[in-house]
Amino acid sequence: MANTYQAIATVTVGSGGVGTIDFTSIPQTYTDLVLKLSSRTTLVTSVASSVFFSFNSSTSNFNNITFYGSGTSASTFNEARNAGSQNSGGSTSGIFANINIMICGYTTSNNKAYLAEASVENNATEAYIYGNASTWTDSAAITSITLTPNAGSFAEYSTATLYGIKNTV
Amino acid sequence: MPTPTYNCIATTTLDASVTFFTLSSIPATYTDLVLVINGAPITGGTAMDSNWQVNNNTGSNYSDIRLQNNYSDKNNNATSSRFGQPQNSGRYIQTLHFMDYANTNIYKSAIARSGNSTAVSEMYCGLWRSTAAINSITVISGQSRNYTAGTVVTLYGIKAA
Repeated sequence: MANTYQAIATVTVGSGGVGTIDFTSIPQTYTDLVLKLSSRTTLVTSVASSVFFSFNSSTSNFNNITFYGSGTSASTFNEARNAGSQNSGGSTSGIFANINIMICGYTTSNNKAYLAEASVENNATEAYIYGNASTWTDSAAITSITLTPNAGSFAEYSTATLYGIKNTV
Repeated sequence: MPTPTYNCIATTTLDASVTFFTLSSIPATYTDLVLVINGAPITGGTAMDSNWQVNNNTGSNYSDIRLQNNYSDKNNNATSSRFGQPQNSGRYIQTLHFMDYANTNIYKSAIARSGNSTAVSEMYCGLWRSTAAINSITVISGQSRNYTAGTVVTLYGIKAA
């Protein structure tokens, strides 16, 4: 396999949790970015809770559409900066959500499109799966990414890794 | 300097119809696992569930949720977890992604995509309620149907460092 998929940085959450997960000083030498998150929130209520993005500390000019399944029905919603949801304290201890995000053309002056998929399984009636498509309508290259839980903190043992992909060998 | 982190662990092409196959001796040296199946049309019926088990564990320790076209359902306390519904009407793709598969502090969950252009587009989330590191993956057909010759199976490992 060509040497085009490389780990840039990893965050592992320690005891007590953290309020945000930040990737800063992202090198501008790749074509695309992939962010993989295994996480849950310390929020004590509910089974699932949203995770939000910001790029370059900006929370403006984000558009989103998400389709999701609850195990009994399927639907869609729009919520800016939403990257799916993660397990919360209302789900079984030890279960961490999977969130997989791909950001294409992050160094270009075009609007930035990204896709995300997320899973909140719970071996119970309430569980969710999400797929979303989003755009950040901003010409700036992405140099930092911040992930923020809607409520609570990212719990201990959560991990996030940012990868860079090159379209040249 | 970043290092290459997306490596092929194993690949094989089925040369006959089977109801299951296993990828074993998976090293614990990666962070994530990605299983990709480029499938030939199934036999034995129109469609089947495609399921995964790990570490030869056949207990009722699995669950899943499915989003299929505009429909969603789930299974709890199952003996395997679904991750696709291959058809007999054409080739199909399945991807199965385990994050932190060797982390002994967490239960193992997976997110999967599957599709066949003539029938279904799907997402799945699966769970194995064990903190053990995953060292083998078995893929099992449902409804007594068959994976067929020409199906290409590849397992990748992704390192976080």
